[in-house]
Amino acid sequence: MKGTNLGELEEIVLLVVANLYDNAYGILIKTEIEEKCKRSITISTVHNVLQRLSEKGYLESRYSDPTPERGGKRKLLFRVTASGQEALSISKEMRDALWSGIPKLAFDK
Amino acid sequence: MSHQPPKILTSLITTFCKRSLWEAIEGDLYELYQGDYEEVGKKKARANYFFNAVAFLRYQRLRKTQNSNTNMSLMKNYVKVSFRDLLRHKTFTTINLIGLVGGMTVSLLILQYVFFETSFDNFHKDGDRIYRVINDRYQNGELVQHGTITYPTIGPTLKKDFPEVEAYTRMTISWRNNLTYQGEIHLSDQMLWADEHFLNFFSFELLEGDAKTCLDAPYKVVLTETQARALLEGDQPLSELIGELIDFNDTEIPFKITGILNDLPENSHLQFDLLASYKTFIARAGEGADNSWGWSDFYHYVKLQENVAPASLDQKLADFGVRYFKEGEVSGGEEEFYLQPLAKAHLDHLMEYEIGEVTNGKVIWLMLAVAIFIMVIAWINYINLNTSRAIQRAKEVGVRKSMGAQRRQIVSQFIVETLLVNLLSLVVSLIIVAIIQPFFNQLTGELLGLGILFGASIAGIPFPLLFLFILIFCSTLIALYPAYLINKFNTQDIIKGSFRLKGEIVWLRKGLVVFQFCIAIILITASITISRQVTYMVNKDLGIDINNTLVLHGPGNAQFDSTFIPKIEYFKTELGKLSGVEMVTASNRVVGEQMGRVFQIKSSADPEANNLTSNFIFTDHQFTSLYNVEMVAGRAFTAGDHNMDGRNVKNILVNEEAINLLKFANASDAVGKSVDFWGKTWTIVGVVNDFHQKSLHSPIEPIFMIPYYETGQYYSLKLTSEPNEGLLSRVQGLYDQVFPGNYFDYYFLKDQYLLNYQADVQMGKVSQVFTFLSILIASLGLYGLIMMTILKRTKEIGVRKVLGANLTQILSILTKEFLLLIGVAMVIGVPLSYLLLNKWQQGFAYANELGWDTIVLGIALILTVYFTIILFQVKKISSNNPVESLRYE
Repeated sequence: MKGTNLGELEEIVLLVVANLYDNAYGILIKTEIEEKCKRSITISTVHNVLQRLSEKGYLESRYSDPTPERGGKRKLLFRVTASGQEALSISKEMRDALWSGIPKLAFDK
Repeated sequence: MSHQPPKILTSLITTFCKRSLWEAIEGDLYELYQGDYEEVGKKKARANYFFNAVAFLRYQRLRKTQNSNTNMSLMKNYVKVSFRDLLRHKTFTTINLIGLVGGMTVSLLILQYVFFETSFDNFHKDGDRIYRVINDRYQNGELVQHGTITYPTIGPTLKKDFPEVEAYTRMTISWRNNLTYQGEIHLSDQMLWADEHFLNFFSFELLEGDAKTCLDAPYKVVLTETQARALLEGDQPLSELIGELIDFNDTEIPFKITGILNDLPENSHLQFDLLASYKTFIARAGEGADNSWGWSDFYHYVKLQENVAPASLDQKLADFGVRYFKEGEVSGGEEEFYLQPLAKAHLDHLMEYEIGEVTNGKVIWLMLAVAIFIMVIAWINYINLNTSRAIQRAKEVGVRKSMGAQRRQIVSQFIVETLLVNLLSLVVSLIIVAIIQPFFNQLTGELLGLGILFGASIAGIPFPLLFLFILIFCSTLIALYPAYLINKFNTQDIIKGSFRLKGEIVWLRKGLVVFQFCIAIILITASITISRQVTYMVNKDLGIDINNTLVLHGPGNAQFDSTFIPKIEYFKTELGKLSGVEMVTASNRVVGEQMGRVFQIKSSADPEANNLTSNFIFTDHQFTSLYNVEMVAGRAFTAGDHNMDGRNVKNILVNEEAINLLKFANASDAVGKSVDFWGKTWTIVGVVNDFHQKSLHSPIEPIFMIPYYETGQYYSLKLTSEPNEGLLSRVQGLYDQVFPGNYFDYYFLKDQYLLNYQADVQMGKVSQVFTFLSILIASLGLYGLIMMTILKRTKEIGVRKVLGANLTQILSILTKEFLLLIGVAMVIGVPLSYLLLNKWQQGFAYANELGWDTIVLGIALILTVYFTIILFQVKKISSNNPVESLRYE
């Protein structure tokens, strides 16, 4: 059913948020994705994905205290929820199962 | 060390993004900007900021309006359903579209005309503070002249006496002057002798020369670009003309070109091809042109100080007239002065001795009324048809309602559909207007275009915007009625189809039919009356024969010396010898032109009648016989009545109207009696019949015929046959021989005279087109209505037929309702159109009698159209097999 599966970008963002534990906000997520995955992404796309994941209930968010380097604006910090964690592990298990099912000969060329 | 990103973008984000998110987004953008600023510099950082910010707007999820999705898709649904519905009912859609497109096309054309005519002189800076001085002249308490001409002293004196007057300019007009440049003669058709203020006062664009100095001394002249190009060869620059000398008529001192004006805007009431300095005029015509209180050939415009209400000057101007003219002692008349706003100068056609082109302002508003009427008829059709159709569409509405649609949404559906149809019609009409524009311009003789509409504005609001607003407003309004009706019904009833229209809707529909029919009656009778009046005017016996008359313009460049009269007699005799020419006469005016006026006439018949006013014309002794003017009493002029010395010219002819003016008992009584004017006593030697010296718009006025010769007078040639090239070149040969250095030009008097009716002829043609269109629109409406009525009664007709009704009976049942309505419309429309047309005909001194046959003919025409429509429809339905109609539904 729509909404339970994780898209590729969604999965990456979810993993990055988990990596950044308690410090995950827009810019940091963006730079992290750019560094780790070697792909460029716009800040608006990051926000859009974060929002989608929040709607699905995989992320929760709260505002931090205001910081001067952001012109006095607060950060919106994200954390992976229990169901987010579950979705990640389901996804991982599915991949693992698929990986383990590959016959040795398949990649032997 | 923090840098401020562009504020506008920031506020864009905060406006469009979700309240819960914008702080986070704004903060992220800010942070990115700081990083970029350090790395790639301000410019690049700002660009990145822009792209990043705008990129946010892509995501629906981040935007504010969450329910816009439903609204959008509903809107899409409305449009889709509207289109399907329009396509399904092709006949109705076509009727609606033809009606609306016709109405809008006519309205757009009329609006062009209205905007053009009302835009006159709006290009002058401070135009709202500029006024023209109007001079009314009274004698014996009677208004004898209502003119734009006045005394040369008025402008300067107003400026001296009234601090409210900031500036003035004065001028006088002259026609047909010869300009000789490098040996070649050119014609200046219409020129102004204008003072040094003129070019600073008005905002005509000077291409070359200095506005301050180019008219400040005698013998300086400014040309318009077209006139200047006529003097130049090929693409020589205009500046080469500056400082050049041209010969002006017979003036010994040549004129120096000091400036070139851009060609005048079409919408300037002042039109001229040349300006010569007023000081030249004074030098040529004498000091009177500067300081006379008795010579009134001059036009004055004043500019008031800011914040001066012209009304505050009314009383002061009245005192001014009394103070300087001492109740008739100075100029022989009591003088009153008024200020006419510049914007009105083009729109008042009742002024005498107009300097510029004028039009009847009332006609413009009448046209606007016609445009509005036609648009109203078209919209009424729309309401009418859609109300009927709304009933058919009741099921759709019922389903929508039972699915939970709110009233508002039902109304939206109707509004969307109406807007669609109206906007579509607008686009089609714009295309049609663009296509038919050349034909329309030919018909009206105007230079109109859609550009006028796009450029226009009312009270600072651009017209296209306003028009669109009105269109949307009216569309909404006319959509509301059917929507309101359908909303009133119970959803259950609608779905079951068991409801009927009663009361108000039927009344509304009847009212609309009556209204349309009334308008149709008025328009068609108006068209017939106008075309009859034009025919009447063209064919009426003028009391003077202007057929086969060729008129030569007189020489502007000729000396009035001792050889002049013999020269003219020689010219006339030689012309008369040419084969094809019967006779030749000289006169300073010809029929159709405004004659000059002579004031302060004393009659010997009555000592009380000592301050009279009459027209005058200078004619030679052949005039009456060439023009077939009948001698009522006395004798015609003979060659002996002319004299080189003006003081020895003593005999005059008068017309019958002048006999009444002068209080003689009858024509033969007047012969041999005397009148006094221009400081001497004249003898009436003969009386001519009253002939129409102007168009039939004006009444016959008293005329004095005076046997003076003048240099610039016309030569009328009575021809015995159609002129050919040979004859014309021989005439020109003689002209060039007798009057060397003059521009040869001629016209046919009858053609020229008929130009007086050009406006009426054009109005006739235009009104025919509009009448046709409005009747077409009204007929379409009727067609649709009858179709609806019959559709609703299909079953009834079937039953009647089964029971044995014949065609005539069915016809009478179906047409009874409409006949009654047409009857009511006639009762209202006929008297109304009679009143209106009577009023229109009062604009003519000689009008064709307004017969009842005009109205009968008009009604017969409309009834024919209406009945054809009704019969056609009814016949179709009643000749159907009743089985078919009973199976219907």
